[in-house]
Amino acid sequence: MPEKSIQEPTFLILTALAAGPQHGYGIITDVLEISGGRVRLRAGTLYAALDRLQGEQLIESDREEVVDGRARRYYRLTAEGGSRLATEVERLRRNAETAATRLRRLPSLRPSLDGAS
Amino acid sequence: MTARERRYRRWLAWYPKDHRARHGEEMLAVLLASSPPEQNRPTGRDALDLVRGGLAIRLRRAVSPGSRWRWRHAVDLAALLAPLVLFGAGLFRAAALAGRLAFDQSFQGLVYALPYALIVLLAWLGRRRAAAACAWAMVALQTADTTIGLMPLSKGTVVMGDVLLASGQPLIAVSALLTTLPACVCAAMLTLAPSPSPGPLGSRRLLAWTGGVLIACVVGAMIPRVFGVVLVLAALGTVAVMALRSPVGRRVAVTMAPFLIAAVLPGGFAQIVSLGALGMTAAVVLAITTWLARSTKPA
Repeated sequence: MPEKSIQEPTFLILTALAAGPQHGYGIITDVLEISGGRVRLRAGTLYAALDRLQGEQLIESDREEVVDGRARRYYRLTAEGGSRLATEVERLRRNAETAATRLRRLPSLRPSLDGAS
Repeated sequence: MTARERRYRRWLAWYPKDHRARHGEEMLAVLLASSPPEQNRPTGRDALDLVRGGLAIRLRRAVSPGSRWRWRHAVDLAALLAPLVLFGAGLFRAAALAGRLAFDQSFQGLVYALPYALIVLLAWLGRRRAAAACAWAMVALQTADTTIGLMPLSKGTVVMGDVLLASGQPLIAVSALLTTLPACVCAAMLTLAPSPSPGPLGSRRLLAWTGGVLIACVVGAMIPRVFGVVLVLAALGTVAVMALRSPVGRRVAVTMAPFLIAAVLPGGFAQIVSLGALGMTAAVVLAITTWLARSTKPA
């Protein structure tokens, strides 16, 4: 069965965890940075995504630390999560390459794309 | 715990209990860390996001493969409750009509109510096919009866149960459909349920609850109207609260929603559009719950 493409917030969460285990707030700040300040995850969205990703066994709990008297749980990418992210990266890369190739053939757009590359 | 913390924590009630126990503290930490210290409570968008997240998690659990057995129990129980409700309601209506000395109508009501006792019994004894066949026979009988009864009426008259409504539209077919809709949904539920049974509720408890509600209804019909209504509502409210407290009970409520709506429908639904919408909704809910119940092996 071909896998469904991953939504952007989920993609960014997996990308954040690809750098190593992180806790909830760490993921939020990392996602904000990766996305260039564009995606600011809120707690509800983040934990709904974490719950789903744990259900799909793409991520798992890594360890708990107590900071300021509060338990802080770290999450890490599973092997399955890593390969899922790699598949998605490949898919996005192929799409982007196809789009770029076709745009290059459009005479009206040639200068701007050449300038960008 | 500070007042600020408490105001944030309150929103976590939208999450399932076990999720709260496991992730409540870290969610609170994230919430407090990601909002400025002078912010005293979640902003509207944060609150909305928390609610949406909680509902998403609940919905995912509600339909997850691990909870399918609950759907199976719920659909089986609902298939038993639907004819039970029709029986009880029919009995109650007949008693009320007899109280108003409308014995003809009371007798007719009884004719429609009593077969449902047989249907409940058949379903309870595991004779699902026989129960479903009887339920469909009742639909056919009621449709024929309603249609024949409506034929001589002039065009543009609508009959709802024993109430005569005047309407500008020729809606005989619609009102016939509407009158038989509860019976239809009930028959469909009996046909689709894997094996109607009281399930985890247990026969004894189901009997006790049924008896309790029936007694409340009978007593409610005999005492002065205001107290009667309060008593009946209190009995039904207790049942509803008890049901909604258990995971299977909540699923029963979802499964039975179209049936109950069809059974207590206001006259305003005697329009082809709203009737069609209700029929479609009932079909969709039935299809989804049946799929959820049947996509599991019996425990």
